[in-house]
Amino acid sequence: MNEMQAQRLVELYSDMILRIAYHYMNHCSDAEDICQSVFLKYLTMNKHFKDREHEKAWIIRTTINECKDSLKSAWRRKTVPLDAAADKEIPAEPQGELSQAIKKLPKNYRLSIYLHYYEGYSAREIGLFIGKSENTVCAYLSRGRKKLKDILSEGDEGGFRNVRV
Amino acid sequence: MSEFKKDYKQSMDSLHFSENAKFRMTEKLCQKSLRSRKGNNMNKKFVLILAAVLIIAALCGAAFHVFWSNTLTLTANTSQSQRIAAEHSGLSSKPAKNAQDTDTVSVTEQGVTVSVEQVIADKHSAEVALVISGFELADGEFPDIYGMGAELGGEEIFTSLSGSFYDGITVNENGESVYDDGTPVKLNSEGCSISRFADSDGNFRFRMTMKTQKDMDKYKGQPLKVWISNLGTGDKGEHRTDIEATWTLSWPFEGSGEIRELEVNKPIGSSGNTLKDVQLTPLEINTVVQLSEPFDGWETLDFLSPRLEGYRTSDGIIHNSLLPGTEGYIDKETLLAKQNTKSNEIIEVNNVDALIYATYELDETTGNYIRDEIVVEFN
Repeated sequence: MNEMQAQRLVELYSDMILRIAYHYMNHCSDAEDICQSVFLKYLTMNKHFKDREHEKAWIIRTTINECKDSLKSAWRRKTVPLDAAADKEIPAEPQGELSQAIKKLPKNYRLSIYLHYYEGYSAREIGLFIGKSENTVCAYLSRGRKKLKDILSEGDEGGFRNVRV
Repeated sequence: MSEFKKDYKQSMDSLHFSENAKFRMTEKLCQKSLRSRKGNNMNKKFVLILAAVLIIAALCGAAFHVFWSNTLTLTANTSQSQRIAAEHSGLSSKPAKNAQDTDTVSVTEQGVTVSVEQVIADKHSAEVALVISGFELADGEFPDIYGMGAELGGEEIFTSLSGSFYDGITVNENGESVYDDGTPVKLNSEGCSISRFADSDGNFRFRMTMKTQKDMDKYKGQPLKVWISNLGTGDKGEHRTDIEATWTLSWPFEGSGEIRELEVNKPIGSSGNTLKDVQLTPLEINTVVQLSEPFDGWETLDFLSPRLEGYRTSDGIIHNSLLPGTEGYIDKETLLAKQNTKSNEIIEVNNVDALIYATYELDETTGNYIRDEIVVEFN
């Protein structure tokens, strides 16, 4: 892989990997490590993609798997060597009422919301990424919207709200 | 774009690596590439095409059958003969058809008329489709109501009540998302579907869904009363009332009392869980499951695995049409649990001979999830 190809990969996908990691793990601390792991897999697997959408889908699935592995070996995260830690940058998390509300949702809801509302994937495609049926993802999206509505309108004594979330 | 999507997009746009971090990652990638035994022998061709904008399959009603309201969940997946049978059995009713003087199937307040178009009801749940006319919205605004309620036979028996406006998007016979006039759904610059809340006559449709543990069959002939109040617009929890009024409708309840209950007591594959009891209505499948070990996933709003996803009818056809509903412990000490699901098609209860469960396992080599189906048969 030459520098141009590496740059292309990083430019196209690093922020997306960061956002997926943030939604999966609810923090940005390990995002750069996860990014590197995903790109390393990309490099070593020598995979051929039909088109950019195929490539992007592979990156998303691999990122989710890396996040799962990262959570499983949490002790490893706590023992980063000092010099490596100095190189790491932890991107600033989004602030604001909506971001804080989304953080309160379960991870599959957060991921589904991100992949649907930001990346534009359908419930069926999201199901392939996270290993759930289309109907389950629809339930995540609909329950996620309802929970967001409840969190955002907390304290309101009014009746039913058909909030377009 | 709704306020939510706009705010969400802005917050996600603000989450990114710095240029330094990207430079660092690029450098490391190049170094690893040089050190890799496979080296630079990755001569991929990347064809950059415009990403196809993905259309979301909705589970709303179809526009093509005259009899049934587009608003209802079942409409898209119900054949003409099923609809006729449903109207005979009382599963579907159109209150305006046989309205008496004592019934209120249409009411006008402040120049806005709300009418009940259709009701789908079984023993424990009902969907009510309302038509709202005389209300206007500016382009890009979402309709909203402030309050709603329902009673049956003068009692507040519903433990769950929700409602939503029909967004004008349905599914045609090819499974494609289309508007009521059959034209393809249009997408905005974010790739999200553009809703059409008002139909060609300027009417809006609102669906109320209500559930109860009580047997609604016992309330047949008694008044089902529903109301909605304060019509306006809404986005991200912010309601603005444009018309302050309450529209109350009431008519005799009809519904299908059809139910089939079975003791099954069969294992669900090799999961260790046992399917104990099954209850089938035209709209739902509810099960009692004996777990082999405690399940903590409900605390994080996850679903039990294997998932109950469908059923098989005696003609061998598998219907993966069950929507996740509620599930949880009946008795935590004995690990007895329930799974309640709703169907997006009418269940012919006497023709169901098996339930379909599924698990999803990750294939490490491909990174794909493999769905494994489990069929639990019963007589």
